[in-house]
Amino acid sequence: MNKTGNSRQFEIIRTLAAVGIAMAAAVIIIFIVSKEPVNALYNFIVGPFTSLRRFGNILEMACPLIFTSLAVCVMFQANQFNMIAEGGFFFGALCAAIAAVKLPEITGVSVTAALLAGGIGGASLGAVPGILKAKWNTNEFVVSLMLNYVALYLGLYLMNTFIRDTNAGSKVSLKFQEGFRLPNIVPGTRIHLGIVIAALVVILIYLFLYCNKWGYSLRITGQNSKFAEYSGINTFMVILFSQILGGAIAGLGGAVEMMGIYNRFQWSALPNYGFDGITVAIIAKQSPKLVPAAALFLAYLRTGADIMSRSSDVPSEVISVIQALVIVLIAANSFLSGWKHRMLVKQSMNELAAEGGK
Amino acid sequence: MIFDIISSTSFWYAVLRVSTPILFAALAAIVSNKAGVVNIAIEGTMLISSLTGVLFSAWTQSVFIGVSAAVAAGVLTALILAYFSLNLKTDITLTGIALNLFASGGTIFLLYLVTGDKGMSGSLKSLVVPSWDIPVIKNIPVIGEIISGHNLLTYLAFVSVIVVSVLLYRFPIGLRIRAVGEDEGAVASVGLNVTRIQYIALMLSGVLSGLGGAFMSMGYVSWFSKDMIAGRGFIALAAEAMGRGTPVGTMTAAMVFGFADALSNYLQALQISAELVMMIPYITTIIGLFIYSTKKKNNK
Amino acid sequence: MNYLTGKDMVEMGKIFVDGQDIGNHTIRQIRDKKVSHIPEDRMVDGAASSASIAENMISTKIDSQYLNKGLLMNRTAINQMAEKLIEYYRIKCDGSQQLVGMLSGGNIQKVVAARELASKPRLIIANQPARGVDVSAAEFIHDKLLELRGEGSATLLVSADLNEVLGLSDSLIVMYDGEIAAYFKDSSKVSELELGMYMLGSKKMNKEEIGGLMDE
Repeated sequence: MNKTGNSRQFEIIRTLAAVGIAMAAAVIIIFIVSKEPVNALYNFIVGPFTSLRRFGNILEMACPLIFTSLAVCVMFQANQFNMIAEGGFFFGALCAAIAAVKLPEITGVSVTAALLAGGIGGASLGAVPGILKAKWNTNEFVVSLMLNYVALYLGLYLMNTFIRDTNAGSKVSLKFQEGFRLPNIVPGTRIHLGIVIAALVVILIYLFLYCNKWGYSLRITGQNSKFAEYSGINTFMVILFSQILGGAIAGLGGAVEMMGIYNRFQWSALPNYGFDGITVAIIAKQSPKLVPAAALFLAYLRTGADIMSRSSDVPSEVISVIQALVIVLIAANSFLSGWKHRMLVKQSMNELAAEGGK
Repeated sequence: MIFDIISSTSFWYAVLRVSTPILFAALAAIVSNKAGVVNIAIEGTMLISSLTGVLFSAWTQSVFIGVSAAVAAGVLTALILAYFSLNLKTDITLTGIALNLFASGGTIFLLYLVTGDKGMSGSLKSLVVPSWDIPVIKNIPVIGEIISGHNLLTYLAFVSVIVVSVLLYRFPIGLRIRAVGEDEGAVASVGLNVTRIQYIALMLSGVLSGLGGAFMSMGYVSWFSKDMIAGRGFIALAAEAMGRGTPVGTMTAAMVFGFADALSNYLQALQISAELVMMIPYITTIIGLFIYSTKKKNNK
Repeated sequence: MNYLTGKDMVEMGKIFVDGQDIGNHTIRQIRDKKVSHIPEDRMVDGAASSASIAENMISTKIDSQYLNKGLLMNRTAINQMAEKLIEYYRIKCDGSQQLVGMLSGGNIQKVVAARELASKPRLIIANQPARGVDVSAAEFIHDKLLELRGEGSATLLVSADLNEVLGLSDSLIVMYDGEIAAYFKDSSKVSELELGMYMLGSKKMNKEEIGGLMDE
């Protein structure tokens, strides 16, 4: 096996090891914390498979995660540590909600209009840190984090001002017009057409990053921006565009989630899909190909944790521990590097011996 | 209307009060930045410390132990950050993100386990750090009302500006920290252990973050609630950048944000849409960073 | 160097390539004029070590019709080109998909050279092209530069290596302290000692002798 193939194999092992260690830590915590650990664990690990509705929850949750993690993949591959996936998702959902309440219903076009509104809303958010970074080298990390809060409060303000249902008991919006909503595709669950859209976006983004010259420019800029500049690539546009695109994908994801699962806008806080998207993107090593599997995995963990928290005494927040461990171990360059080093040395010795024998 | 607010002494009293956690966090950012380590996890560290302070002060009914525990928690969190980023070599930004994630969920988890409260420490009789009416000063008109009567931690925060300055610029460890931030190679070539110095810087950062977190749950309010740091740990990073890494400059920047925060609190009471007003501190931060970057670029 | 290659914009004076003022062109526009650049620091500017050899070789050619099929890049054409260049430049590697960071310094420089020279540029700016490179690779690159000179390309060689400079150049310019100190139309007539004196600033030609350069 050549050296590149070995490297990939090593990465897979490392990812699995990281996930394994994180899960083991969770199991240990559950045992320490719970009065009935076996029951809790059973609910956590097997729970999601015990009914159609629960299994459906995995796919329902994977859908928004795919969008937000794709957004993160695009931005991270351009080496922009932009955290706007969270705010973009929320704001995109809101924009779609406004469209679904206010716009006239036109068959065939309505859904697209709502999703488009979401994408544009998210893109506008992403543009702020994008422009600031491209033109003035402002730290996109802090700006985007601040903007997430701005998106939350601005979104809630817009909701309260324009589409609030004054008859309802809590601060929610008016009901969406049905023509804007995404249809359910698996009866007995809440799985909606959005999951198909998610799959399409995965393919599109993969093609963009790896088979298109602008995606190539994006990746190369992310790997070595000086080299990209020197080669004549317009890094200004790459920095700006990657963040706009990331925001757009997140916004689209929010719109899809809102139009697929809800019939009114009822969020009063950031739903955390954006931050979870970061975890998924890291597990997927920022590659769109691996995003669906990683998203399904995290969705499975979250669903299991939810079930566990409802049927035993372990709160679902134990998931945060797993997530944090997975991120640091997978992204740790020195994790298992000693082992990799030994493997490489062994392989080189074998090659030398083979050549010597010829 | 805004003028009415600004001309009241109670407003400026509030500015000092509200700036306290941002100031602690910003000082934490300075110390770690000087060593070349960007501490993204100040937010999470503060959150963990704020819970620890509440738990220990309720358990021991001692303010001192509560605050000390918070500080210890801050140092411990910093050590974890240091281990993963310096030893295992995870990218520091990612480690910070992971720690913040962990703090957000882990604090709720721990609170539930210890008290059965979900999301807010309602049932805990946690203590508050006492305030101090400074004799003599408290009687000075205007100034007295603004400066006297603050929580002890507020005074500690402003004193810390001096302490951090002195530490960084007059003590050998401060020199080493700054040297590591400037040129690791040079420091290593003299035989000093770069990693150890960075560990120390992060631990100091943890102490300051711990104090900031303690203030949030034992001074600003007297309880712990979910995600109560609300981004102040990140605003502090902006303050550090805008203060050009100098303790005094950072203090000024932190107070600018404190101003925005206090203004937002006052305006909320005035029937202006709560949501719009709550955006103020965050928008201020973005604008502040924008101004800072344009100036930096023009100076080049 | 930065002015010639487009990294910085020219504020005073003019730079002409093929009769066109390139003073405020972008790097892209300069490259479009068929100017190639072998940079001084290959790891910082000349290559992306975490990208494959093939990806490194196309970085300056991504708009080429030959390498694109509509909206998508033509993978087969790209890999074919990469493999041909690997063979032609005798780059020691594990195939075109291997990461550039795994190659030796000399081979990385060959990748850079392959990319910059394969497009038959009209002007080549080569900045210390053989620095940190093993003897056979250095020789190879020098041969290629001479070959291209034979086919009509102009080469501006910047180097601190006297052997390289004397061995390759037709004419020489010596710079000292930011100014042109000497110009020799025929490098074979100069001795190393004389060159050294100009390089150290002990001697400097007057305007008339350098004037010869302007007429060229």
